[in-house]
Parts: sequence; C-alpha cells; structure tokens
Amino acid sequence: MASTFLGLSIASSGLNAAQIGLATTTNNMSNIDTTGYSRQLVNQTSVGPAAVYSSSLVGNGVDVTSVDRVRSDSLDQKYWQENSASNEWDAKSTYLSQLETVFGSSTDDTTSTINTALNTFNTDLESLSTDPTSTSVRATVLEQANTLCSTINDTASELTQLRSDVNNDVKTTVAQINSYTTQIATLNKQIVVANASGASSNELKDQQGVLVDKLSALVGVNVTKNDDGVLKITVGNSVLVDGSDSKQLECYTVTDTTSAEYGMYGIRDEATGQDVTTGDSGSLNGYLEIRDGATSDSKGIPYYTNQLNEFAQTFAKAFNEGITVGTTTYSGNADGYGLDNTTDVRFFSYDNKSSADLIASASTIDAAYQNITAANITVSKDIQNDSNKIAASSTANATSNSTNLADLISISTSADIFGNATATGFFSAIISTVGTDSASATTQYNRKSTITSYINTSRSSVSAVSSNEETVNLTKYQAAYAASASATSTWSKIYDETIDMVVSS
Amino acid sequence: MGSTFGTYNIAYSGMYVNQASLATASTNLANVDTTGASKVQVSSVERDTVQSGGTSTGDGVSVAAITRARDRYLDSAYRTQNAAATYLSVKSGNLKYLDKILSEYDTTSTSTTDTTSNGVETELEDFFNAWQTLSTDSGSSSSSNTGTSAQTTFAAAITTATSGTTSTAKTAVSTAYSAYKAALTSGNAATIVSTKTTLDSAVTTLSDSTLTAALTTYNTSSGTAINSAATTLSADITNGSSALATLSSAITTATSGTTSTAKTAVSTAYSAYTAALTSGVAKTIVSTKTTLDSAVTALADTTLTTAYSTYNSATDGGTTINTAATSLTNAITTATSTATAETTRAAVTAAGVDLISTLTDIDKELQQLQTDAVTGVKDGVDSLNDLASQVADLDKQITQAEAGGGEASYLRDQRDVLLDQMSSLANISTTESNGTLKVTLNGANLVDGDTARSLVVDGSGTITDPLTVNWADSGTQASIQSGSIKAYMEDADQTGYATIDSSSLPYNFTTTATSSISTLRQGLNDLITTLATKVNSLSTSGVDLDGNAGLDFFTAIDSSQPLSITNIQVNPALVADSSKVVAASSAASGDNTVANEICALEDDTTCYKSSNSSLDIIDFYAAITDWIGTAGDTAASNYTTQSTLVTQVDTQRKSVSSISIDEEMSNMIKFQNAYAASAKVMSTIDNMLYTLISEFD
Repeated sequence: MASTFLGLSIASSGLNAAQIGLATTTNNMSNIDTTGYSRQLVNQTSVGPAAVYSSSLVGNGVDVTSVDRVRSDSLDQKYWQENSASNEWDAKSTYLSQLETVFGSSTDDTTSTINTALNTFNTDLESLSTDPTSTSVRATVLEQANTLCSTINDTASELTQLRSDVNNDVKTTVAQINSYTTQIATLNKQIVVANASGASSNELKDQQGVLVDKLSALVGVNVTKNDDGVLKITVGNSVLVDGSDSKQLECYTVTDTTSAEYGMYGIRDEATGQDVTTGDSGSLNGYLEIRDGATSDSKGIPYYTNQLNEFAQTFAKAFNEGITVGTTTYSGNADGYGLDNTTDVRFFSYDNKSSADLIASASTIDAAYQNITAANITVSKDIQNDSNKIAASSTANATSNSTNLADLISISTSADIFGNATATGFFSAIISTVGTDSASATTQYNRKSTITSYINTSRSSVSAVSSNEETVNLTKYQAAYAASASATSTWSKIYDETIDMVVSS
Repeated sequence: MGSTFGTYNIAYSGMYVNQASLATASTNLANVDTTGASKVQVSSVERDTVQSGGTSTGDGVSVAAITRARDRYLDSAYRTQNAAATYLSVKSGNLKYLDKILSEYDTTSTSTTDTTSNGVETELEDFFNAWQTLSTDSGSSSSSNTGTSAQTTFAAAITTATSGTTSTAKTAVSTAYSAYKAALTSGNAATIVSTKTTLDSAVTTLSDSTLTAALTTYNTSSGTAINSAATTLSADITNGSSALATLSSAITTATSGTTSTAKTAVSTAYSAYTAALTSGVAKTIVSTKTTLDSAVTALADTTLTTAYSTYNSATDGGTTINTAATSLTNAITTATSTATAETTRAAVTAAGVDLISTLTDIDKELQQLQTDAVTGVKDGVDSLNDLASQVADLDKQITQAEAGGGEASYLRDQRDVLLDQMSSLANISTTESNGTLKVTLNGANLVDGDTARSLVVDGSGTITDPLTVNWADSGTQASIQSGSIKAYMEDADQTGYATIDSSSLPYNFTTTATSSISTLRQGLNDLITTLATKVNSLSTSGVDLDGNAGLDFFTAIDSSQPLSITNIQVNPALVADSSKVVAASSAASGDNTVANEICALEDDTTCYKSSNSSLDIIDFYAAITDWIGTAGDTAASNYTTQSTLVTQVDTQRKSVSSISIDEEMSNMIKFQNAYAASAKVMSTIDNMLYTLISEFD
C-alpha cells in the first residue's frame, strides 16, 4: 500500500529538478561571455520506489544527482602543450626581431651601422693613400675610426641592455608563475571544501582552468587531476602545485662567474634554495634561451655578443699587428712608420689606453687582445693625440710612401682576416644569422599559434555556452515545471475528492 | 449472493488502481527531462471470483504490472550503431587534425607581416631553388669568381701604382678609377662608357706595366663586356628617339580628355620612363618600363596599345633598349658581385635546415598524437571498467528490488544509460535471462549478473611492445572490434612506420597501415630519407669549394642509427662552413655538375614510388597530402552517415520510451476522473447502506 501523499512527493521532486534545470540554464545564459566558463548540465536520474502496488514498483520521481560542467580534459591537456610551445616561440621571435634591429637588416647592408662605419673608414683610408701627408685627411681617418669604435661600443651596449631587458622579463615571469600557482593552490583548497560541503565546485574549476591556461603560456606544465578535481602541477623537475600547497620560486642574482647565467637571475625554490629547472617550453624558457644561449645550437644574446667581441678583437689585432692570410702577409699599423717616424704604435686599443698600455696589459700579445671587447674598443691614445702616428709608410723618413697603408686597407677591406671571411663579410654573416633565426622563430610561432587556436576552437565547441541550446533548455525546463505543477494540483483534487466523500457522508 | 460490503471493495479497488496510475503518471512527468528515463505504464486487470456454478462475479480491478515502455531490440541496435559511430568520430577527428597539421604548414601564413608560405612543398621548392641558384651562380663553382677577382686585382694594382710620390698621371688614374667605379655603381650607360675611356687613357699615360696588365685582365674578364653592353644601350637610346616620339604623341592623345586614375598612371609612368632613358641608368630603365607596361595594359586604350606594341617592336624601340639595359645590369652584377658564392652556399644549407625543421616538427606533432591515442586507449579502458562495475552494482540492486516481482524501472533506466555509455567505448552486446544481465565483448563476459570483470592495457604502443587490451583475470586478449577504444588502438599502432632501407630505393610507399598517423609518418620519413640518401650520394661523389672530397649533406644525429625523420640534420660541418657544400664533381673551373644533378632530383621520378607508381618528390608529397585529404573526407562522410543512423535508431527508440507531457497530462485527467468516479461509487454505496441502516432506526 502506498502512502497517501506519495503523489505530492513525486510531483515536488519534479518541480525541484525543473527548478534546478532552470537555474542552471539561466546561469549558463548569463555566463555566455565569461572567459573560461564551461557550460553546465543538470545530471538527473529517476529514483524509487515510492510505492508497491500489487507487487509492482512505482518510482519516486526524480533526483538531481549533480550539476556537471562540460569539459574535455584531453583537449585541455593538448591546449596546454601547444600553448606553451606557441608562447615560447612568441618570446623568442619578439627578442630576435629586436636583435635584428640592433644589427641592422639582413637584406640591405646600408642599414647596418657597423658595416657603414667600416665602409666609410675604408674610403677615408683610401683617400689617405692618395695623399699620405695630408693632416686634414689623417684627421678625417681618425674621426672615422672613432665613429667605427663608438658604433661597435653602442651595438655592444645595446646587446647588454637587451639582455638586461630579457632578464627583467624572467623576473616578471617568475613572479607571474608564483601568483598563478598560489591562486591555483588556493582554488584546490576551495574545491576540496566545496566538495566536502556538497556545494558546487564548477565555477572554481573554471577559474582554475583559466589560471592553468595562463600558466601554460609561461612554462610547460604537466597537469594531473585526482577524482575530486584537485590539480597537481609539475614543471620541469619540481612540483609547483600539489593540493593546497604551492611551491614559490624566487629569482636571485647568480654570482658564480663560471655559470652561463652569471650576473643574471637564477631561479630557485624559495623554501629550500635549490635551483629548479623550468621545463622545455613556455615563454620563460624562450626568455632563458635568448638570455643565456651562447652556442651555435642555441643562439642567444651572449652568442651574438661573443661574435661581436671576436669581430672587435680580430679586427683590432689584424689592423694593429698585421696578419698572414694564406701565403700573403699584410703589415699592421705597428709595422709601419708615421709621419713623425714613430713606429710600433697600435691603432686600436681599449678604454682609450695607449699603445704601450695595451701591450703591457697582459703577458703575451694574444692575451692583451683578449682584453679588447666590443664594448670597450677605442682608438689608442697615441693615435688619438696625434694622427700623424697613423703608419702609412713602410719605411722611416718616407712621408709620401703609402705601402703600409695599402696593407692596412687590404686588412680592412679585402683580406680574409676571419679565416674565410673579410671584416664586412664576417659582420654580414652575423646579420644574416640573426635574420634567419628571427624569420625561423616567427615561422615557428605562426605554426604553433595556428595549431593552438585550432585546439582552442575545438575546446570551445565542447565547453562554450550556445544561446540556442540554452533557449531550448529554458523552454524544456519551463514545460517540465508546469507539468509537475499540474500534477500537484491534480493530486490536491484527489485529496479533496476523498475528503469530500467523508464529509458528505 | 455477494457480501453486502463487497461493493465497498470493488469501489476501493478502483480507487487503488487509479491512484497507482496517477502515481505513475506523476513520476513520468517528474522524469520528463531525465536522460534515459522511459515511460512507465500501469496495466490493470479485472478481478473476479469464480463461482461453483461456473459463473463469475466481478470483484473490482487490480494492478497487474507496472512496466516501462522499452524495446530491447532497438536498444541493442542503438548500441551497435553507436559503437561504430564513436569509432568513426575518433578516426575522422584525428584525420582532420592530421590534415590541419599538414595544411597549416602548407598554406600561406595568416600573419600580415609575413606572407611567405611555410609548407613542406614550399620548403622543398626553396631547397631545390637554392641549389638551382648555386648551380647557375658564377661565383659558386670550384674555381673562384673570375670577374670579381680580376676586379679586385685591378683595384689593388691601381692602389699600388698610384702610391708613392704623387704625380699628375697617378692622380689622373685614381680620379678616373673612382669615377668609373661610381659609374658602375649607378649603372649609367653613357657615364660608364665615358669614364672607361678616361680611365683607359689615364692608365696608358701612367704607363705602369703591372697596372696595364691588370687592366687587360680586367677587360678580358668583364670590363669589355660591360663597356660593350653600355655602348649598345647608349646607342639604342639615341637611335630610339624617333620611335619614342611616335609613342609620345599616342600617349598624349590617350591621356587627354577627362582625367582618370589610369590615365594619370600612364602619363606618370611615361614621364618616369623618358627621364630614365635620358639619364641612361640601366636598372631604372628596366623598372620604369615594367611600370609603364602595366599602366598601359590597365588603361586598355586600343589605339595606345597598338602604338605601344609598335614602339616595342621597332628596331630601336622599347624591347631592344630593355634587353640592352638588362644585359648591362647583368654584366655589372657579375663583375662586381662579392661574396655571392658564400651567400648562395649558405642559402642552400639554410634551406636544408628549414626543410628538416619543418618535417621534424610535423613528425613531433604526429608522435604526440600517437601518444595521445595511447592515453585515449587507457582512459577508454578505465571508463569501461568503471562502467562495468557500476552496471554490476545496479544488477545487484535490481535483483533485490525485483525479488517480490514487478519491475524496478528506475534502476533499469539507469542501467541502460550506463550500457549506452559503454557502447560508445566498445562493441558490447547484452543478453538477459531470468533477470540476470550479461554484458559480453565479442562473446566474452564483461558483466555477468552482479560480477564485473576488468580489462587492463598492456604494452607501451611501440612496434616491439604493441598495445593490447587484456582480461585482468585470465590475461588473454580481449577482442574489441568497435567503439572509441578500437579507434584509438588503431591510431596508436606504430606498425607501418619503419626505417627506410637506403640501399633499395625507391621505397614503395603504401597507405595500408592500420594507423593513418603511422602512414603519414612513414610517408614523410620516406620523403626525407630518400632525398637525403640521393643528395648525400651526389655530394660525396664531388668536391667542395676548396677542392676537398665532398661530405654528406644530411647526417644522422645519432650516427649509430640509420637516417630517418627522427634522426636527421643538415651536416653541422656544412652549416658552420658553407664552403664545404659540394657543387662540383671536380676541382675544374666552372664545374657545377653536382649542383645540377641535385637540381635534377626535383623532377626525377625514379626516386619515389607510391602504390607502385613512380613519382618525383613534389608529386610524391602531393600523393601523401591527397591521400590524407581523401581519407579525411571519406572518414568524415562515413561518420556523418553513421551518426545519422544512430540518430534515427535513437528517435525510433524514443518514440517507444520517451515521456510525453501531453500524454501524461491527459492520463492524469483520465485517472483523476476515474478515481473520482470510484470515490463516487464508494460514497453512493455508503449512502445506500446509510439509508438501509436508517430504516432500522
């Protein structure tokens, strides 16, 4: 036998389910433009039994078991993978195009300031060769040599500045990572609390999804999820988020001079002080490769700084000391004689040191030239003070002799002083390497970002709110609500009927 | 004679049955939006008592059964079709992604700043174009560039000859040389001729034997060629004045009247062209002529077009001048080009590096996709196990609930939803006997009543350790023929991707592998390995710029393993020093044999074989992309067909089971009235008896 009021309890379960359905639909509709919001669905099931009639079972209406968010975990994982890769190339291509600006364009050598300065210097040297005694031409040569040196100095300092910019980006990125992981851990905690109290954790999970999306742009993440929806996030060799705990990273200035990161920010675990690795993708990794790449496999700013230093050292040494290329030997400035008959004077030095100070700066000549860098190369103090010391002549007391100058011109223009390249050729090769790297990074970025947005579109097609669908749901739940309401009134009539019967009798 | 109070019972039975019907209608209405809920119906039966005389007396009504409306055969049809649909959904989804990976690389980049195409086909063409440039570049052969070196020698000779004590003759030479160099740079024909004459006479006057010899060498190598090209151009320009005058009036006529953009374009282009002719600068003549050509075409004035073609075809007209200007520009470029050899060689290695990076990037995406497929199998099997144990649990509850007879429809509905979900993972079939449900996978029990068996995934997915789904208890392999697990298993299968045997090329590429991902990987592997093998064998047969024996162009990253798409790079020695790129078969001057042979590989149909037809490299790649496109389209259309079928079966199923608000509402009214009627009977009898009893008072 059934309870008298079973009908009301069935109908009220229907009213309740329809109401939750309406609320969920309304919530979906209002979040149609919310970033990271996943559509929610009411998960309801028929329950029973309410009564047994002649050993037949009648169900007890409906029960809402959960309100679930519609989300594809596998597409999330795929998105995070591709988003990290895409942002790594974005970071690289941004800085490589800035490097391109520093060195000048690869297609047109005239915009390369160092090559322009070098060419003008060469032209002035040639003018001097036609008139080696002219003081005014010598002054022009000196002035142009100063321009050349300061152009190289400027380029070197721009590289240093760029590296320090990247270094600041590293610090900012680490701060962002800390902020995201802290928020994700807090949300993990809230999700556990919400689950325990039976409250909905859908919105919390959506917020968490947005944060992981952002985090994946910065570093390559490995995300695992337990049954409660609590995330564990591993980056490189460290677990950044585990339940409600998040590991804070910190930047510190590396003081180990042998490290590639010397003077830059290292990244370590704030609690233990252990260095951490940051995976192999994401914009942080892009910044680190640009900041620290010093090999031909990983061409970052240090690589180009080294190239520029090699340019400055080799050029200064060849011009000062002379050089043998193949079977031809070219004399340097130190081998010739100036107008005032001085010899053994070095043309280029560093930090405005005199020729003698340059040589005295180290035990061997080779070691002395190691002191010259792109940042500090200057014309030597001797030449600076007296341009007559430019050694045009190959013999003493021969003012109109410009044989030595012819060698200097060759060193500066046509001789392969860099093994298989001339001075301009070597510098053009640097420009072309930067250009190729930059173009290739842009290409990679375009490829990866297209795939990322394809996956994001697929992901949205699963999780996004469709206003058409929700409108249909709204009508559906409204009708269901009305139907259960009618059922309630029908039962009420039945009760009236029965009660009337007794009253009337 | 029945009992006096028997009629009470009859009336009450009516109320009882109708209350049951109302309860059923209410529960149907409550579940109108519940997934998988089927309509529940009460069937009632007349209750009677058979008398000894063979007659029977009506005894009211009773509930015979409350059952759900469900067609088991449609359920089973739905599950079979659904398994096939999810199988196709995964397959076509992955093919679409493959196509996306390839076509992204194959189409013009969407970025506004970078309009170059980065596709494999473009990379291949770039690679061969770079070799083409190298093979035709005068500076690239094993001998050094004669034009450039003669010029360098001449420049050095001038410097030497004019050094030392200053003299008028020396100054004249260096001034004349500077003027000549400037003229070459500007490309002005008349100036080149005049400065060359001045230079020649200045050199003669200086009478320095070394310098004279250097001038002769320079003249032989390029000086004379430049001079004659310049002379021809100057002469052509001068002679062409009458033809130009005719054109000029035609232009004036055509551009008169109402102004229009096209007319303005023509007159502007014409002024620029005549100015260029007057100045005699070769490059400018060519470029302004091009602008004029297009402007005239754009204007589409018949008279002008005729006049223009007359001008072009005249003996000293446009075409002649243009040819002369072009040959002068070329002669100057050849003579003054420096470091072109280095640049074109570096371009070859750069194109090689780009090609390798594009292909290995695609391959990495494909490998990732196979890893994802392995995860798909594991996740699918986990879900299947989970669902199977839920079904077993429900079975237990159903048995308990139904112990007293009747049907626990709400539990059966839940179980059917789970079974539907299982059908999207694998090809399950169900049988029910004596209330016990069996879920089988190709004949083997997955769920038998309240016990569920579980499946495990073994293997890592490699060829040597393939992925299998086994029964956890017996360890024998489970047979999964359909559903998403099957699709992921197929896509994860690496069979078909293998190292190409470089000694027996061409490799016969087929698309028969189970996994389309492996097929694509193998296609790309064949593409690059064959190319690398061919280029390497040509490279090692020749000599480099310095005359040393040629090195391999492509090398394995791990030299203990054979070349393959996962183990290939452009030889780092070549990247570091592009003079090691091999273009020549011997150290002889101007030898570009190897570069030419490598260029010829682009159209060599003996290199590739796809399904037994011989193809060249570009056609081979096109065959791969065609296959992906076709396979993707086929899978997509199969999926569409299959999912339509699933929808149809589902609609049929729903027409039996689904709950209709209209139907339930009308039932409510019906049962409510029936209940009221029974209640009326009850009160009538009550009144009757009341009247009867009153008689005694």
